[in-house]
Amino acid sequence: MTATGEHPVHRLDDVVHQRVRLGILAVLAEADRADFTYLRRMLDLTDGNLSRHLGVLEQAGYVRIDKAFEERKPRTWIHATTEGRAALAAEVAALRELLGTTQMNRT
Amino acid sequence: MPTPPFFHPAGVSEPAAALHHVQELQDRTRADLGSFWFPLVVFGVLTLASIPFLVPDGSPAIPYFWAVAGPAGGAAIGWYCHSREQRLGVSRSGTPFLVTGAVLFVAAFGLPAVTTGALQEVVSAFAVGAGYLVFAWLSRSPTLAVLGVVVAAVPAGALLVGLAHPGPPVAATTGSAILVTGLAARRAEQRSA
Repeated sequence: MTATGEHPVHRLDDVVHQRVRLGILAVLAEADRADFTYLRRMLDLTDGNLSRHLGVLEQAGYVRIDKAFEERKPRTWIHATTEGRAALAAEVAALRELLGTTQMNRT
Repeated sequence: MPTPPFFHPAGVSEPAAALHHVQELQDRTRADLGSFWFPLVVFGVLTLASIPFLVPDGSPAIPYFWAVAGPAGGAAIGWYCHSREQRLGVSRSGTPFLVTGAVLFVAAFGLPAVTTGALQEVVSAFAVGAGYLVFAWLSRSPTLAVLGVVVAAVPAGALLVGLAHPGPPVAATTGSAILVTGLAARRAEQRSA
């Protein structure tokens, strides 16, 4: 438990606390933007699976999706929003705290 | 939508597995974004090419060389970074790198104007070393940090030894260090690809 008495597990965001969505935000937090193909390759996903998770993140306001034509080919670029970066940072902080709590309980 | 658990081997907690997952992906993304061999090779070659223009007593030859070579090298690096990012499908903001490059360029030009003697010949190398330290911080690259320290230490060493005309040996040493680091980085990137 924290100084405020709230267990860190309550600060885990259901939108972010999912392997694929956490991975998408982790990649986008490091980069300014990534395209659909890069994310699909990095996370080893199918098109449909990635689209579904991107939809969840977009609906939450955590990513922005831009569709463009480059050299006559469609290309989808994904950016993390300020809210998305903050959500990832909060999730990582909660996980670190949770890890500390778990380790304390073991000892 | 249900939240599936993170895969984690026995004995590793879910938070640890999730944090490992984030770290691993960020490391891979940083590695994809952190290709710096080309800029190093370009500026290593340009530094070595500048040696014949390094004549003592404040000759204007070297500022003219860098007035052309600096922006040309920067443009080549910009083109390389843009085409690499388009090919990979991932990019980061180039603004901090552009601002650092511009400040470095102005400092490398301006500092010789306010110094004299042996220091005037090598003061730009201090600015370049500081610039590499900033690039290292922006890229989170220990390699660039070491290079920055080496590039700044070489002119300091030349001044301590008391060389009368330290410009050419300093340019030869720092240019070689930058070029060798660039070639080694290229080899490392090719191996990990």
